[in-house]
Amino acid sequence: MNTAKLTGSAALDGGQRLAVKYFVVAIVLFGAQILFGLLAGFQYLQPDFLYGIVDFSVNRMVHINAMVVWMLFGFIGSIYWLIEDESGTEIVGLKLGNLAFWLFTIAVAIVVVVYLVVQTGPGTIESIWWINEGREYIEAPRWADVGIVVCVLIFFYNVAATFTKGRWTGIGGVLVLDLVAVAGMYLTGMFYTPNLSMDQFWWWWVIHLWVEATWEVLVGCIMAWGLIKTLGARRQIVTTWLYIEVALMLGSGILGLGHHYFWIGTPEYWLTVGGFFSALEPVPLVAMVVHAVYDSGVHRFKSPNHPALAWLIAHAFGNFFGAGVWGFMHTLPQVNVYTHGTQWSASHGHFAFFGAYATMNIAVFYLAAQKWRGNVNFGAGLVDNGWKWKWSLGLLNGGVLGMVMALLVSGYDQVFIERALEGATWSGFFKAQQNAWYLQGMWWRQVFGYMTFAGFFLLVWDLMTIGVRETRPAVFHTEVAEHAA
Amino acid sequence: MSNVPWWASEDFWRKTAIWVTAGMAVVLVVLTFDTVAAITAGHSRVPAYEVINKRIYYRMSTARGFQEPVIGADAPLFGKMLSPEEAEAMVSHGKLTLQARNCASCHTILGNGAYYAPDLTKAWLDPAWAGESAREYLMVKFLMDPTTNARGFGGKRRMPNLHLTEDEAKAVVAFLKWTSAIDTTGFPRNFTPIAQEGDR
Amino acid sequence: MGALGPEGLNVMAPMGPEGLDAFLLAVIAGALVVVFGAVYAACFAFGRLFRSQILMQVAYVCFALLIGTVYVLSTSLHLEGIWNVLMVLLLVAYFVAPRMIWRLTAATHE
Repeated sequence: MNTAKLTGSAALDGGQRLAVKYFVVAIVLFGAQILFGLLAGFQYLQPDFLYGIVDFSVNRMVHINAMVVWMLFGFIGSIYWLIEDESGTEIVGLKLGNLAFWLFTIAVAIVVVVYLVVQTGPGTIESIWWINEGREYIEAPRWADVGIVVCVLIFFYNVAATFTKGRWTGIGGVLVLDLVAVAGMYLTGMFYTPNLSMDQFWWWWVIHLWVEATWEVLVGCIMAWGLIKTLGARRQIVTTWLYIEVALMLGSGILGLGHHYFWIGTPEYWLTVGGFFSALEPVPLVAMVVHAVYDSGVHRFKSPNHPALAWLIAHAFGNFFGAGVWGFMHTLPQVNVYTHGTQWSASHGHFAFFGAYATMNIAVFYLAAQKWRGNVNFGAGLVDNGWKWKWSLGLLNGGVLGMVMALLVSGYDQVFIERALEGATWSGFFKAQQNAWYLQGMWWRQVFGYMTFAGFFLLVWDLMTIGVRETRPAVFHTEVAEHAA
Repeated sequence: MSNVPWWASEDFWRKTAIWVTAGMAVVLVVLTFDTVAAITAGHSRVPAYEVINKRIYYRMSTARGFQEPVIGADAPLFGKMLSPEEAEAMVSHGKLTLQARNCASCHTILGNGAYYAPDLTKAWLDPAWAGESAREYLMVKFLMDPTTNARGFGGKRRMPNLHLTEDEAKAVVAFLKWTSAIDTTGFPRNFTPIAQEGDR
Repeated sequence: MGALGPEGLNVMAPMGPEGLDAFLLAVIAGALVVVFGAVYAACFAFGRLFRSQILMQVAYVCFALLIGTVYVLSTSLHLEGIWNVLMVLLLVAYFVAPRMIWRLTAATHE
């Protein structure tokens, strides 16, 4: 080991050592997400595959739950990564944070084992407490919900107390308030009612207000810190813009919730509310475009971490197309009445989750890897010309984009046959599922799924090896500016 | 830095962010109170549980421009009129079964869930159940052994056997009957319901 | 029920094969609204950055295309009443937002 530079956990502060644990689990779950997605996708093509053993329902549930949890682990890790630096002090409850990490991880492992082995239970409230809650994305049984809330509260305590002990920054303030909302929204999904409309009404508070409000703000905070650290952006400007983005995102996103209340039994004014605010939801994205262009004129972008920068650019495009374009395409109720509940939604879901959140987490993984390797150069002139990160970037983005397009073809075919021609009946559903165009979309989705998996494999390989033989130190823009001054 | 006009200052935007968020949250809370009242079972949009004692039609409303559920005469499920409490217990047992058997990881219901199997919102009214009178028994039979009674409509996809007891299967049917009476503002569009006796 | 107006959803009622063309147009238009909105914003911003008249003209061409797309969206969905008001508001917002954001960006970077 090179003695001139600190590497591994010795190079990290306390929060960052904890963050790395979260990142490792996040990556494992990312792999699980893709693997179970591949199994579920294959069952579309070969319905007898694992039939009665690990049915589609199980694979699909693990697929989407792994996704939600790896995003969360990535976010929590990212915040632990930045907290000591941002607050200017040591983390308050590191031991507690470690305990929460292990609790959370073990709980996730138990939940997955129960999903795979026990799978289902009798129609009683006990099943919901101990086996499976049976509500999309938040299938985790109630005991695990309670565990998650406890872990998030510990996390919240750590963040709030650390900022209180150190210094409060704009980023810190937004972060802490946002975490209150993250935890609070989750509580709205933790009750049972026989009333399906009521169930889905509150269920969307968790799903939408997490994904299209609080998670966006969380990512905004991580991004703001990243801009200050890696590009040397001035804190005051970044903070002001974080507030502007919060105002724009929550101003359109909170009532954008309305676009989920078109067809679940809720009153008709939601059609107008949802349509109106969904039309506004792309405005923050447009704001980012303008701002990015302005910045490109002001700063010379010279990043010592090309993979992270590339993934941030992927984030910008993915967020714009996945959430913005793919969202608005079918968000007006006049269109949505046909597309709701078809592969169209799957297309949008894959694009938006990957584009807005997976990309961001991967960018942070690369920032972490850089420090872990002793803050060496990840910029130009990487060993092997950095082929691994470039190929994994291409394969992951190409794979997901391919799946998105394939699902869109299937979705359109489904709308055409099931909803338009066949009157949305069950026989219409199956007629669409057997149509050549639909099946071809599913087939291509699977191919691009394998491509995504190959990209994931390379990503892991790259994160484990990138910069190992690199000796040149990373030169950050801030430092360039300081030297010049 | 002192050149920054007030409308571009950090302070102004911090306050704006707080006010915008708070304002939107207040609007959401107000709308939530209204909506929760409307979707409470037995109110304007969502039927009372004892609706499972009645015939449920699905008819075009010329005033609204789409189909809506219409509650008809007595048509007790499995030949037994239930009290409101019994009806709620049965529908609730059905929903618990739906959750515990993870139905929404293959099916959508109200359009939400997975896309591997057909939407359950109008399952009760689907023409696949041949005729109105045999439907509830066919549904129970199917639910208790979907592998043998599989009807893939020409495809290979089959529902796995989730080993529902007879009580659970009947409760699921009750839940689906109740669900079909929710006013979904015309979703799914252009739905062609089962031939409804005395309706045509 | 004023919200969507019975007309609002009614127009999609004839969605058989013939209604489907309208549907396809509507989703493509919906996607292009956001794309043109962003390209207009980007060209506008680059136009300001490089003080380029040509880029500004490209931006306005994009906005004209955006107007056209919104028109297609509105006609293909047979939008009426409040929904057309929404479309006009959308156009105004997409036109004004990049300008305001640019001014704001310049001012915050003072």
